[in-house]
Amino acid sequence: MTIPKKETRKGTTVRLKIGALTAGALSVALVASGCSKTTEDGGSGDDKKAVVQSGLISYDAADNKGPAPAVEGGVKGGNVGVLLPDGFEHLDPARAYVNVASLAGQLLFRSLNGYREDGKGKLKVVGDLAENPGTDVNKDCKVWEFKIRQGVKYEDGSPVTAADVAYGVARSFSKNLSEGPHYIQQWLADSKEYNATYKGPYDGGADLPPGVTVPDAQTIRFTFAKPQCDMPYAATMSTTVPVPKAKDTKTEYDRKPFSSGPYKIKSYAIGQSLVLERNPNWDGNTDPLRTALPDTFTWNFTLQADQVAERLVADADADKSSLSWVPVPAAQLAKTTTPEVKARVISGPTQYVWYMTINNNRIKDVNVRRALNYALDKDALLKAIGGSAAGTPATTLLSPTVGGFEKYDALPAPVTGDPAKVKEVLGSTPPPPLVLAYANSPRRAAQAEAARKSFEAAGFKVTTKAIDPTNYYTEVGRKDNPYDLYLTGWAADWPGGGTVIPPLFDGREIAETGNQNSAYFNEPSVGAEIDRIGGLPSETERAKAWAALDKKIMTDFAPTIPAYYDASYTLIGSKVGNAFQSDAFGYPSLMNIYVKQ
Amino acid sequence: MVRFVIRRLLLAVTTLFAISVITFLLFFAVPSSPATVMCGKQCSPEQIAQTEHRLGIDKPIVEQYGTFVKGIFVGRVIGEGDFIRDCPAPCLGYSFRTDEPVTDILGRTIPVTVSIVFGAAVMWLVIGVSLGMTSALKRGTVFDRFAIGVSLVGASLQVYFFGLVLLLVFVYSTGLLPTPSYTPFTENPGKWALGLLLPWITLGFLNSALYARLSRAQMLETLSEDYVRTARAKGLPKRTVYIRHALRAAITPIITIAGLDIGASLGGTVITESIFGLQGLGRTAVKAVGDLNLPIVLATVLVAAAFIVFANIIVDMLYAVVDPRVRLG
Amino acid sequence: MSNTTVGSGPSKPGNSETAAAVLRVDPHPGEPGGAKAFVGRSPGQLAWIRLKRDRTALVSAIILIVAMVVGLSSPLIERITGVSPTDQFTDKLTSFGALPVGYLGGISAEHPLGLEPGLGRDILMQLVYGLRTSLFIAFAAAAISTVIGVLVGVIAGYARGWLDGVVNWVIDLALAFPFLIFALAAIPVVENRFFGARDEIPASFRVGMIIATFAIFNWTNTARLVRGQVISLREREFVEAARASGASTWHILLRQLLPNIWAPILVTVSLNVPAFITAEAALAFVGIGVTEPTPDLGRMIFNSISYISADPMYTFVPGVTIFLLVLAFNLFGDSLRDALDPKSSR
Repeated sequence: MTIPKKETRKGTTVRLKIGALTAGALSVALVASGCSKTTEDGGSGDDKKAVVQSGLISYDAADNKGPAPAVEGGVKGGNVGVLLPDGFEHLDPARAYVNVASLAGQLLFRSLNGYREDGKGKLKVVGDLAENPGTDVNKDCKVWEFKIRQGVKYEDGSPVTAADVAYGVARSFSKNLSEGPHYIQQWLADSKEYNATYKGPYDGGADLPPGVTVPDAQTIRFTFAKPQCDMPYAATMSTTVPVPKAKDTKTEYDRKPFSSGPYKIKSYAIGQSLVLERNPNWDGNTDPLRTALPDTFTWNFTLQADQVAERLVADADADKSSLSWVPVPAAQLAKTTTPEVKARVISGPTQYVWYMTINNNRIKDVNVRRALNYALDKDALLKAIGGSAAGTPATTLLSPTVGGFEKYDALPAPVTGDPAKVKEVLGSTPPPPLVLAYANSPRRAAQAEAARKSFEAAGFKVTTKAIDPTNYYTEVGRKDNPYDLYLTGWAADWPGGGTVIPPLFDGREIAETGNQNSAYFNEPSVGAEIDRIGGLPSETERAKAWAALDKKIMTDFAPTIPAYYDASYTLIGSKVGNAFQSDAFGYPSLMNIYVKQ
Repeated sequence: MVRFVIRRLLLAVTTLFAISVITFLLFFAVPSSPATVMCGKQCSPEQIAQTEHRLGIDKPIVEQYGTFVKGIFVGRVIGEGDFIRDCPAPCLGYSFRTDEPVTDILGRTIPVTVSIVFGAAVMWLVIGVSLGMTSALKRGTVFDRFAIGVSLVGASLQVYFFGLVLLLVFVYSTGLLPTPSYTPFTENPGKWALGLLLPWITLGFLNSALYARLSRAQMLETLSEDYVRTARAKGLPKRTVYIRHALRAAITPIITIAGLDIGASLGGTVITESIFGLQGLGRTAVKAVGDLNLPIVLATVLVAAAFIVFANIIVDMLYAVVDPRVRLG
Repeated sequence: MSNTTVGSGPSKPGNSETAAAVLRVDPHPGEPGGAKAFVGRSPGQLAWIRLKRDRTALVSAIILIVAMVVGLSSPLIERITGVSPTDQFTDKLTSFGALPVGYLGGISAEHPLGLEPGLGRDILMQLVYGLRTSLFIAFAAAAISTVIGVLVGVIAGYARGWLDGVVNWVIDLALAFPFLIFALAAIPVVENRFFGARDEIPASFRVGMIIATFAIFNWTNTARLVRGQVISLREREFVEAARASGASTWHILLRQLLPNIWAPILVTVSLNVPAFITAEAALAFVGIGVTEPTPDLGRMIFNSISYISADPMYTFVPGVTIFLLVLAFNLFGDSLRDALDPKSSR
């Protein structure tokens, strides 16, 4: 290719001038748009909603009968838009696990149990498909019986039967549909490897999993080898969504699941949108949870998080009846502080708690662990990802969204850390060199940097180690992993301490790999207490006991550093009514939402 | 000519094969497994083994590669037992994460990338060539120096900076343009163009420099040729002379370079798509690498490479067609 | 004396202006009517004279030298300001949103360019150290890929036949493979092989990997260029003469061909360096750039994308820096080319 010949010499100086001019123009453009003063105030991301979760499992007739309580000011009609950047990976109830899939599932499906929420901290587990949250037949938590309500119909008008629920549970055993939660399957098989023997109703397998019986069309029974008093919670999960055998399209079920709820799929274009319309066969009298006021729901998958925030802040006509299932990115937070926008903010703690986990296999001295607790600057850790809208500093192992939560602080220190106290606690012990591992994404890298700085300010020598995000939890889940500190997050699968403390702090579960107890904390007394709590008769007592155990673990052993309670911060349009953050799922639930006319 | 084309096609196929092999090897050299990406909280070794078996990645690499190639040419069967699926040729497999057929994913993302690149190409050609030709005609004037200077500045800017500035000025601060988005052309051509206008302008301006200089130089060279002077002397109007003679001579190298540029752009639009929030081939590829989603990675890499390789062939052919002095082979 | 055409097009015959330059009269100042002396100059010296006279080259060279000096003396600057690039001034960030307090992203006397949102690091120090990283990577990668390209190009151009064909095919392969995907996949694999799980991977290793990846993909341009030049030169009389007088291939390559192609190579290098600066920043977009906590311009730009409307300074500083650097390189490269190839377009 011929490179053109030289231009006149004079022309070259002009180029320089133009270059300088461009730089100048760009700077003016940028400066002009950024010329306002940023001040400290203006922000409501803090735990204004430090509401303590109090409601639990309810067998009250009033809570368990349909129709759902009327929504004050609620009107029928309209379309609710949901802006969701990455779409759904799976809508199939056997494969859905993430919160957004569960929230969408609340409109499409009915599971045995469900959550009744009012946005004021009174979350209750009640029967959804079932008439009540489950009968403990022999009062030993081993046999659970659910009675399916009469009159619940699928989108084609056929009735929902107990056999369908059993089939739904059965197909979730298949290794091809394994992305969903495995609680019930593991309890039925009495083993972590839930599909070692029974592999689902395919390739010649039986239609009923072992331990599941269907005495009649409206009754289903689960028989577990060990007591599982949390079954009412587990029964809220999508594993118990009814799937008629004739409608099982296996891997295609993700695209078009068969609806048992108030809405059915009208259209689903992956990467584009999902539209739900009414299921004409849904009977509100059979449903204690949903008022199904809007006519349609439309999900938009094409926008990015910052675009979502911009649109909802702007609240144009097309977006007035929309909400989002993605937090407002840190950069856009400043735009949400005007009174008009502030009124449309939905925020609060989610089910996630983030811990700066200490590897107890390597850091065996409890005083060093306490010192690390005093050293960490939790404020900087949060600021690295956006400050108070991203979360609040934590002092407990359980999240405020869990039933029975009690606030305490075993190792009081300012949120920025207390280097003086670190020296005091360490005494003559020399601070060990530490390796802090983090998942190699921009957010976590920034947090690792903030953590490193705070530990070093307290006198520890810290090196950071980036781990590929695909591998992160596998690596720290290895018992012999060579790291001392790593940031891990844990979400309670249901608002009960039973999904937090046993998986994270029961040392008897520790294996070579695949550990969720990545603190590798192993205390026989704690293990015994866990067993004891599991056997307590009522959920209220258990909740109280979990909170007490939480405090004991941190006070006596300090196996980890509770870093922060994850918070969600989303926006809704001005015409969205009755939207509140679900304590179970961290974003606004759609079950009782409506469009203001 | 035919022999040339056949030879180049064969070479192209070997290149694509080589690329697919390299991608396979890279994928299996990575220590983690896509199964660990997908298992979330439930990562026991048995679960991971099961998932790997389901995805078919526990088989020997050579066998996997063979099945992949067979799938492209004659189709293959994926899964086993009750979950068997028929994947007709050309079979690119299913996404490891969502089970979506890769061909569907390509069908969604290729139009976005192609729309971005072709619109930008039109823009950079129009801007570059018109700027260059006018400069040549007005050689030595202020316009000439200004135009070349502007195009050089454009060549020195980067997509990630300039694109962001344009976003700030036109979308966020003033709202003159809508947030960039992709609407299929068949659905709404107006919206399609409006949603892609900003990426087009950004890429167009940045890439126009080369074409401005090229067309200017070619124009100048042609203008000094004898036959052009003769045509003017004969009294032909300026317009006829310039367009019919000078432009035609200039077009050749411009088209060939543009072809290579377009091919290369189609192969790499990650940054543009990230800045403007468009779900095109580049971003899908990067996300797939992060997820260790082999079928998508293979498909996107091969498509990108195919664009470049075939653009090269077409350009060489065009060169021969337009300039009879060039002999192929 | 040979003529070099800058560019891979066909060589044009002898250049009158070059001859005239040689014969150019150099009147001694203060000597009326001056004694006219003939001064013979080599093309290199002529190019240097032309370069010196070019104002644009001067200005861009100054910009580049300043950038290099600033980058190299970053530890010195740190000592002067007392601020390290990794210091986090989170107390100067708002608690809601973690944005720098004050105007234009927290500009103040201690922080002349403001602070980063989120971590609160000083942008000036990040810039100064980031310049060092970027320039080092760009120069090293340009040098290595040029050396490889020249070697391969010379061999391919001179050898002809199947070797040439193979080289062409490899060049096509390197051009067709998506560079970013390769970097994304290959770099972590290599790092894992060399370092244990607990070992900190030093930033220098990542920098080395980036340079290596650039070199792997970029020698192709130089190779093509050099190959074209060699092909057009190898048929020349002076090469024939050398061969006829029994010179070894080595001698021909080194002594006859290489001196005639250094000019376009030099220009290519000077135009490649800015491409590497841009590309290094692009790596940060796919997450394979220089790792924290080493300051990096590309990572700063990438992190600043979402802050474009809330804190434009955060984008502006690295963006304009890279723009000016690239512009200076491009202008300098242009001037260099003009100096080496004085054919005007008149």
